[in-house]
Amino acid sequence: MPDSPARRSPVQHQLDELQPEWTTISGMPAALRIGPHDEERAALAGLCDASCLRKLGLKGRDAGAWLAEQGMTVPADIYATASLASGGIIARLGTEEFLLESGIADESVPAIEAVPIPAGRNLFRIERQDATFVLCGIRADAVFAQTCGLDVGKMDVGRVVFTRVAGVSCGILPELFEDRRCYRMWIDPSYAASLWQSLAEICGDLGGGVVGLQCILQSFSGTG
Amino acid sequence: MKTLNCPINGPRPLQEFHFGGEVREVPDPARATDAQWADYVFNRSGEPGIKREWWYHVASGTWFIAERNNQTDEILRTYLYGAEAADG
Amino acid sequence: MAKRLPPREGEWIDRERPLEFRFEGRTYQGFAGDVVSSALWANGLLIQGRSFKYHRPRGPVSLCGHDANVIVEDGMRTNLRGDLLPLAEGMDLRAVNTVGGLWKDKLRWTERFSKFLPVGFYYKAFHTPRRLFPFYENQMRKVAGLGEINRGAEFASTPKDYAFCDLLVVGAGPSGLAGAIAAAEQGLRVLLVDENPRLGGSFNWQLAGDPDARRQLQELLARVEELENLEVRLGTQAAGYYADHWVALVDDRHLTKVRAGAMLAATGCIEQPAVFGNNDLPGVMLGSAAQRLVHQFAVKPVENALVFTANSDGYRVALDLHAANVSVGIVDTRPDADPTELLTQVDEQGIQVLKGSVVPVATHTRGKKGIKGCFTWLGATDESKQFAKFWPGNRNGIVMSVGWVPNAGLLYQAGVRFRYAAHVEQFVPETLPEGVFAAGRVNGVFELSDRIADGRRGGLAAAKLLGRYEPELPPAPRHDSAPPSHPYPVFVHPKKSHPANKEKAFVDFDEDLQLKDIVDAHQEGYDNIELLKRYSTAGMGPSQGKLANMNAVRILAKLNGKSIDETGTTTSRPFYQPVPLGHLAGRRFHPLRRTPLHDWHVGAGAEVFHAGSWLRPEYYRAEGQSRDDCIFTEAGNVRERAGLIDVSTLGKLRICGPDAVPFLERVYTGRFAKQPVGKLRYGLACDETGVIIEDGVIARLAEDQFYVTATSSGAAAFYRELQRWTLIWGMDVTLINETGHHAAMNLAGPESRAILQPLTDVDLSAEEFPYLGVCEGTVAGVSAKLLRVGFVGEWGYEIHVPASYGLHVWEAIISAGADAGIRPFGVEAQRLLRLEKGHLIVGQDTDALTNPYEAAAAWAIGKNKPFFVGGRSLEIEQQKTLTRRLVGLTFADPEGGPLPEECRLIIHEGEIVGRITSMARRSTLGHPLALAFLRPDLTEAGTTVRVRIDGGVMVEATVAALPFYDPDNQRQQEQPEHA
Repeated sequence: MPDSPARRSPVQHQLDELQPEWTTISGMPAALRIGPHDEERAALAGLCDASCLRKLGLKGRDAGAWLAEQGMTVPADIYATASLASGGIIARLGTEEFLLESGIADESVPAIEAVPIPAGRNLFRIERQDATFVLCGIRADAVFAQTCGLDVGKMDVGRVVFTRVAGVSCGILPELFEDRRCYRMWIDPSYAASLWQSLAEICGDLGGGVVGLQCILQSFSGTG
Repeated sequence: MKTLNCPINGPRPLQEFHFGGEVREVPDPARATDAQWADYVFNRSGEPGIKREWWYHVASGTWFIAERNNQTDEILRTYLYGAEAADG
Repeated sequence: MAKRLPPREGEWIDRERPLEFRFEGRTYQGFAGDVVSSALWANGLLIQGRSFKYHRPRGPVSLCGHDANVIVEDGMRTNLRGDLLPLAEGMDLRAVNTVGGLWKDKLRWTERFSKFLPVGFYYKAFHTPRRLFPFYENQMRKVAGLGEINRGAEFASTPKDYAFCDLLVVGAGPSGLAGAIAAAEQGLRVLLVDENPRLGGSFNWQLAGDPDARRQLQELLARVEELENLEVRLGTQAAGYYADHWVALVDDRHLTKVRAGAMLAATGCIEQPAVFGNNDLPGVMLGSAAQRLVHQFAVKPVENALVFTANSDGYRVALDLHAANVSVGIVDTRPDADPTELLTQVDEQGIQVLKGSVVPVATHTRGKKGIKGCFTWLGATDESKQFAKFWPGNRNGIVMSVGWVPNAGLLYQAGVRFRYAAHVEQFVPETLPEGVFAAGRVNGVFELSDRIADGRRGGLAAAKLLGRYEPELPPAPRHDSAPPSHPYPVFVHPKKSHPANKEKAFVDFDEDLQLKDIVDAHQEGYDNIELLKRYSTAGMGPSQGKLANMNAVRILAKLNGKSIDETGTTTSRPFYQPVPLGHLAGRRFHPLRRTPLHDWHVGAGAEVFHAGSWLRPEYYRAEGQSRDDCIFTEAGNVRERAGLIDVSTLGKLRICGPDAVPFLERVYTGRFAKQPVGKLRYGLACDETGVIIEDGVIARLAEDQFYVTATSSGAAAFYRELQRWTLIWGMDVTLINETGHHAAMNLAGPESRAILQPLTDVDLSAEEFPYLGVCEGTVAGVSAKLLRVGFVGEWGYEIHVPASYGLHVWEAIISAGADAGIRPFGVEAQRLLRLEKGHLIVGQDTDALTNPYEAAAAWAIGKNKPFFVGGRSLEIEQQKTLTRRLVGLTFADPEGGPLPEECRLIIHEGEIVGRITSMARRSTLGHPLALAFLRPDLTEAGTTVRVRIDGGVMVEATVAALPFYDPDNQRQQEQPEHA
């Protein structure tokens, strides 16, 4: 039995077929590079799997207060996000629900998980195993134009939008990576492979394709 | 495709929603007669007018109420359950 | 190209790029920029199709897709419009709807039998004698189709997409250009679409002969270029309007769904034909078609033309023809038209005009291949002074300019109400919904300056609505000269018996529908526009009545003695022009759900199937074994050793908080207040009518935390309803849906405990972890929930771990159990095993009306519960006599004998008394088993019943007590230790 159990991305099989250069992030094999065309593809329409980033959900009346007590910036508005000092982000999904995603250094979520929830507080941990995709490139909006009924180009940076993409419910978070607009997406793991196939095909049609994490690594490295 | 204005998520295409039936008051099961109870569970009103309807935004899991004129299909307003009174 | 004119300014053809193509087996030349019909016409070919019913020769009438006279196919694609299809090098085209080719069409003799094919003939004939109907039907199908589908056609990807804009302007003629510019100048994001390959609309044909108009066009085009927020899409039709300004845009490549803040329809008018004898023959065309031929394609329509007009547009057409060296004469229905500039010019050019006259019939050349001449009837308005006169000179073309109809489909679909306006003899928009605007000729405005002003006003009105234009809008222009349309362009010879009236006068060219057909239909009682349309098929052909509907309305109004408004119109529906099915299909997203173990199953030889939206292993293939053998072997292995099944598809919900117990007690039929932490119970949920909708396991993890499983197919809907109940009951409960976030697997069989113990820190002894217990611990180093459940009837554990660790844990168990003989098992084996234990599957052994009493699940209803969903209804149900009950059936083990399938009926004394809900043809007990609904009086164990299968064969079955297997649940008791 291995020392620490291996995690697996919902699209590991799809990545395997591309024979990428692998690395391990937070206990999960992550595709660092697909091939020599990564940068070129990322510039046009790059699709990247960042499911290795650890996640945690929290729900309950006391969730916001408790997170604040742990020293986090807790977004006040629903669907707003904030960066975490130890890397990663926190998103408010409802009046009483939050989603935390660690950065590449995998510090934020394990830190919170380690804190025991005091008795009598109304807050509950939620297992979050969502796939995380990142869609980047100048034609990213064109990918959404084929798959999503919302004007994605007009969405605010830093605000999550829950909608349907290629028939799959997911959250879209527009972000700025080195002044270029890209999109982080959270998808239920059981639907992830289906959505990945649709997006990868469309990115390919638009001159891009699947790219490795190296292209966008820095945006998850944290501000600390 | 029609647009429905979710109180939490804003205007979205109808495809993003699930229709949950008309908002109806449940008669007190302890006091309703069998006939009254059967009418509640089986019968629905097809009357023209302003209907209060349950709608659910699937991607975010949000239930809300829409008031809709079922003849013109015009949506008059939408609000969260219980927030009816608080209308600007 | 006999009929090609010398080069002219603004022509669409590129004489530098000649093209060669084939039509009906012959080779012709054309240019890039031609459409098929214009190239054929340039080569002198006016006959380009055959009509639907009578197979009369036909040629282009509108040359812009408003008629469907010319439909061709190229071997790969079919039903292409000759007047819209751009010419391409190497095209090889045939006309549709012929037998033996266009010129030698064998079906052209059909016309001789036209007396036997009156309106609605298929309601009156060809259905008796009944035994001949299949023959008639077969023959008619063969001749009634248009075009052939090539089943081997190449697949072409046509992905759909979405687009967004503040203002969508449909139509880039004078009004559309002006409107788009005005709106863009106010800062709106404008999308301007036009079905033609160029901007300009009627500038390009109606006004192309006017140098001043040409100059204005250039100015508008230059301004369009300058405006960055004005996007143009050419070759794009607005196929239909849908709610909230959602419009389908279609070009030859794909379909775009555009959401606009507002829409401005500047779609112009559709020119209308006159109804007179032989008005369908090649050589009879609309004035706009003649102008398109001349100005856009540089083709001379005919050598000699008679312009049959009721408006001043006809005079412009005559001048354009005259300038193209056509010998022209004018027949004007108006006895004295207002003097206009155009009338003066016609005079100056020496073109002859016959005033106050109409054309009731055209005469044709041999074989009806063209026009030889026509009769005219003087004194159109005065019935007493009439005589017929043969217009001198060979006229081989009749160019009609009798009126217009607004191209208003989009506006009708948007909910615009129209009224018939006498001052233009046309329907005009009366009330428009918010965000929908109309401008130009579609809005009843006809002078060029008015059209531009109207367009500008429309664009500013849209800007005002969207908050980007403050000032008052300029006044709306109004048409104040003679109506551009004739109120009744139907011309028959005044003497009924005159031979002229024996010629066919067509109202709908697509359907070969004659004037007399409409009169007959009216006489037969179809006097309402909706009835008339469907009985006569007026407007139901490929052009959807663009050239027919208005005339049909006018004729019906006259027959009924009613006004046009009183007569009404039929409903305009998308699409404006036909849309290929591939465009509508797009990429076809069909998202399927996969468990974290999916790839392992595929690698292990699983036969994967669709279980609702999930992909699951049906069974695992084994060398040399049939499907049934594999399933049976897998099931046997669970009973004898151990099996592992992926149940990650199960719904997994958490109900937490102070009100968790009361919430559960309201949702489910059972009681949970006294359920100890660390134990689980079966949960059954009903809807308000008392019908079973869900079942699963309810495990108590803590005082205020329950972990609940739900059915794979029903979980999402169930969670949604729980969310609603939470709101309605106002309880302090937190709901969490972790369905996709956990992998779950069921390890079952006598060896299961021995296999699992080394992998987990949980003490699996019977005392520490009894049957129906739940606990949290680790398995293979991963934090897990373990549940001891008995769905398949063996000692076993359901293990839930976070999804990303699923494969690791699965592989660890498979590896650990190798020596003990563990094998994975699929959904089919599981269905067999649970059937042997008599466990029902919601939706399989229950239907949309099954309540717990019928399903032998009344035990799950808690006693003395104050309220639960469905409880009140169950109180009522309990008073009624049960009509069916779920029971077990066994079948004598046949040697290859027949057995029923699910849903087969149980028959007793000639009555249906039940049906099979689940069937196992082979079981580990050695004989076939089933679950079935059965009338209660027959459900005593040992009763014999008969099941009907194919061919009326009856199979005997015996009612048996449930469960079939291990009735005392011995398998869940402590077994002697294995060595």
